[in-house]
Amino acid sequence: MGATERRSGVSYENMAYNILVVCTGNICRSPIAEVLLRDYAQRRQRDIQVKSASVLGLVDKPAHRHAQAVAKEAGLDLSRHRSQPVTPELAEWADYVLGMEIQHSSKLRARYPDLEDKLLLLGSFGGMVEIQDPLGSWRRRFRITRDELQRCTQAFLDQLPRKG
Amino acid sequence: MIVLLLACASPGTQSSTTPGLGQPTLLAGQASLSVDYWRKRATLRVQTFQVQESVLPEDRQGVAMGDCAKIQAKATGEGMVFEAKQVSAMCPGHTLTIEDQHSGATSWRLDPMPQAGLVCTIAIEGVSEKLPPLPNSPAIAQQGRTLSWEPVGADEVRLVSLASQNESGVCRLPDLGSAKLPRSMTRGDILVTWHSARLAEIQKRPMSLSATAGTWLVETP
Repeated sequence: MGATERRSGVSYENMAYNILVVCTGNICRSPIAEVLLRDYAQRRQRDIQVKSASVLGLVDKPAHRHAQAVAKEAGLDLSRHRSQPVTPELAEWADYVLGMEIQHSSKLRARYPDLEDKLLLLGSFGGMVEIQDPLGSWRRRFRITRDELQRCTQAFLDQLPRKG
Repeated sequence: MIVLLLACASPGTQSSTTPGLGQPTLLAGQASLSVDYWRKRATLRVQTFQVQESVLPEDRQGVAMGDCAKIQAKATGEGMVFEAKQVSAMCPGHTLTIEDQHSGATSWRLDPMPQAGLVCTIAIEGVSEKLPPLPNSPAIAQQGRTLSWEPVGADEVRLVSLASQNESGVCRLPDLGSAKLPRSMTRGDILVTWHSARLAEIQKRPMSLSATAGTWLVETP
């Protein structure tokens, strides 16, 4: 469906929520959250678009091998993921921006003041504040992170009102 | 395969250290500025010890310069007897927020993220000392097992990686601009840090002052 397509006088523009998940490098947490959200939305028959990006500005890096492994354990594929920075276009595109740490929100808020109303801490949907970076840790830590992300993304989606 | 991720201006550390010193040193205290450019965290820690016999868990653990070794993971403060002292700290142009404070151990978070050259000053019982300037964290290129970078004049470069559940692998290298990764570090993420350190005497007791900056080399599939 085209972005500006209209049917019967009803705008179908952006009928799906656009969700941008952000972490430090876009190689560990946010790629996992992205595929978890997409998978859960599909199972709940929710129409959302999900992308992920980094505040650090890494470009075209694959997901961390442990991230790929723990995603695979959950039946999800990260093998084709490539990192990308948050851009003005992505910031504009998103209805909601889910950050992992307070510093992500601060950085994005400073860079894109208009994002203020879109910024959310993903951890807050799972009874946490921040979801810590597992970089440098064992796969077991990545597994814990994946489970935290799963809990939080599911709670976020469950609370997301239906559009239209 | 390990690929350099953050070349440009990325430093970072995960623990305060006392680089540049020789063998495990008996210290009465330690002040360390640690900057992790990957995690975007900068921390200044000041610890004062009750007895000089304390061997610091955060010291080099006896790893000789130019050598690599496995060290046991220890909880912060393990093996140390702190002594409460009146401490304060100042880093020009930065806001210091206390993150953790116990008797004899205080940590501040710095905001904004410090850049190379920052000189913090600490004061213990009214006696102040400057920390070494924060070293630069240069771009690192990797070819096979060889790392190369532009030397920044740091006292040493350190590589840290997980070795097992309770151990970390640590290498101490001169800041010469190139180094070969040990075989034990060809898998997994590696924290690469540049350190500057010196010893000072505060109230006639030796104190380690250090500044550390670095970032992560992230293993990619």
